[in-house]
Amino acid sequence: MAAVSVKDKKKTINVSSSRLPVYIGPITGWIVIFVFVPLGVVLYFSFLRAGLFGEIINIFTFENYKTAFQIKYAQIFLRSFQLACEANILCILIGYPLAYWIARYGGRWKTRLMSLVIRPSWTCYLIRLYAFKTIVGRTGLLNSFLLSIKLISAPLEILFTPTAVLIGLVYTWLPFMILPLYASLEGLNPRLLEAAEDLGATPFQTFIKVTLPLTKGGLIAGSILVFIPSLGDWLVPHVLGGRRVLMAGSLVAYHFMEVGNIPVGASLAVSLSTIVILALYILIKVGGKGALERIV
Amino acid sequence: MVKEIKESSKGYKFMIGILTVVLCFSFLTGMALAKPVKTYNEYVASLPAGYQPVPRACFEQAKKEGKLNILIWAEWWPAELFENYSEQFGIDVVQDHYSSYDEVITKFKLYPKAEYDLVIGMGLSGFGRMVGLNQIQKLNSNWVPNVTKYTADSVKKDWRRLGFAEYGIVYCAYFSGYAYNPKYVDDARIPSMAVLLEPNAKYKGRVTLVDDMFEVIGDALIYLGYPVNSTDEKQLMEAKKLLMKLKPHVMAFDTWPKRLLFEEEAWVAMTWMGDAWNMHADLPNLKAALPLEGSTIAYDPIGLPPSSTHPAAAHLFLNYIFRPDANVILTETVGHSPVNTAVPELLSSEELKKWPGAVLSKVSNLNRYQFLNSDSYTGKGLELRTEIWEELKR
Repeated sequence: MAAVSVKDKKKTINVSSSRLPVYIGPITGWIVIFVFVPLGVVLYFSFLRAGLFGEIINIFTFENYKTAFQIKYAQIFLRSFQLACEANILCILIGYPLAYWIARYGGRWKTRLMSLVIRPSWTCYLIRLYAFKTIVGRTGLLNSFLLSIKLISAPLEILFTPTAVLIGLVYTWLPFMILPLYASLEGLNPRLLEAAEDLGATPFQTFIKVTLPLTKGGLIAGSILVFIPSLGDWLVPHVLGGRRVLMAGSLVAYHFMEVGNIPVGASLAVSLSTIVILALYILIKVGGKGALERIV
Repeated sequence: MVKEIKESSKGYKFMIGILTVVLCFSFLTGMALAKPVKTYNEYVASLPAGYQPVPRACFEQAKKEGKLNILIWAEWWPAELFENYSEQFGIDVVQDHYSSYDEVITKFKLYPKAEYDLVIGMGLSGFGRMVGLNQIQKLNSNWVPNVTKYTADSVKKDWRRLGFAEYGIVYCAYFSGYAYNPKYVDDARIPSMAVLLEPNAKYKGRVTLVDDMFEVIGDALIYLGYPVNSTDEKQLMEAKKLLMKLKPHVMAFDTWPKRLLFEEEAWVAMTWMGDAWNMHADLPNLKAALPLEGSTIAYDPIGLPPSSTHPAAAHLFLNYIFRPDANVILTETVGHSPVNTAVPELLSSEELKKWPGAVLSKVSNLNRYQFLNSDSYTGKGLELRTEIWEELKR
């Protein structure tokens, strides 16, 4: 039996190695063509000069990076970073208890409850944002309701403010926090929690010393899925910020589209990508292998 | 049972009868609007008196090309116009849409061989930038005789002065101004730009500006009495000061604030007069004002990119839309002022005839309305405007 098993294993390994290019070739090709090549083009443009009408001139320059590293842009990048952090924290604060409750007490309703979490994603992102605009507007549903129950005397000014952008980011990316958290909470062995209880740990101590460390991977994976798209988001500030709340993504779009200076836009995009890669590296370092597994 | 079947069969016959009548009627109406023409002689004979045909060479080449790829801003032109053209000449019209002219410029910058035959709705600044980037080719003016015949002389003169006479045609003029809700705005200063640009506690958070730095800064400069394309740093910084003072009162930068006006979230909105007319169709109470001290005026041109593979079909289309009967359909939909001299008297809506800026010849002190040019969107002008705009949005 043992001999057969070793033989089979050897055979499997051999087959896999010989066919490795066939298995990973298409996906590698896809990533190279659709991720690395466009990034390479953007990187190349970022070192070129723009002409009088914004035409790209093949003269190598670092000027665009000098422009990109100005204090005024640093402020916009910092604001994006702050909003992305806030959105991430809010997603954790809302998503963790929700995922915990579904995983622990969902019972036979677990699948249905999780389907409710992802169901909003069936509708186009843009349509959801426009619907959201109607809810938080001055004459929207939320204000009408709060006024009708006399909780407020004047409509709340939410729409077209940084608060609206923050709420929009949380609303958009929350399911991406809940899903990996739920997966890691679902994989948590309940006997470990029972053991902690038997050893005299309070529910809070059990949570801090057992549940939280064991679901760290899900938490980091969720943070990667929320923080990174929030940092470069363009549509939420565009629709809910009334184009008054400039974020890093909007700044890149503005230089590409309105100013028509592609090289400066590209240098800003490269700077943003560098921040994202750095954030990704830190998060993976902190979250370890568990975080990566939850994302994949 | 038999009786029921007979009655039901009668019902079906009745329905089929109605359907046949409706189909015949729509077929005949369609025929009346655009009778297909197969030969050049048929085409010439089909034209109402006074209308100019394209030369035979253009017509025959267009028939061979059989297709027209149009890149147009949003879906704002009447579908009827494309359908009639397509039906009359047997040329397939394919439309692609863009939301901002920067998108078109970027598209042609990155892919100069993009197969479009006409680019519509770029505005003057977009068109100017495209010409500067060699993204527009020269027209064959002999192939658009209706354009030559019906375009207003003042427009032809401006078009020559702007240096675009050889490139593209102008089909409408539009003015920037503002739309307002008279329920909330009863300002005695109407129609002055002060209503929009001077901070007023009454309208705090109820003002919207278009999301276009050249228009906003340009209007601020005109309001202050400076040239719209100023590159003078002192004048531009004064405009910046005015806009920064206004900033807390601005609710959003929205080029199409219809929903905000409709829901009465915004009370005063910077917009173009034609757009205001379009919004007015759904918001009958909405009013528009063309500032007395002047504002920006622009022509909306149409041009052929160098990559056009159906140039004759494109010229035939340009000549077709300049027929007064076709141009009136266009004007009544887009709401901007027609440059076709035969159109104003053909307009069916009296309200449109009276709408601010809708009829070019009725605008008083036309010289107060200024064109944006490359001084604004290149070099120092662009640099200073970018700086102001970024600060305004930061």
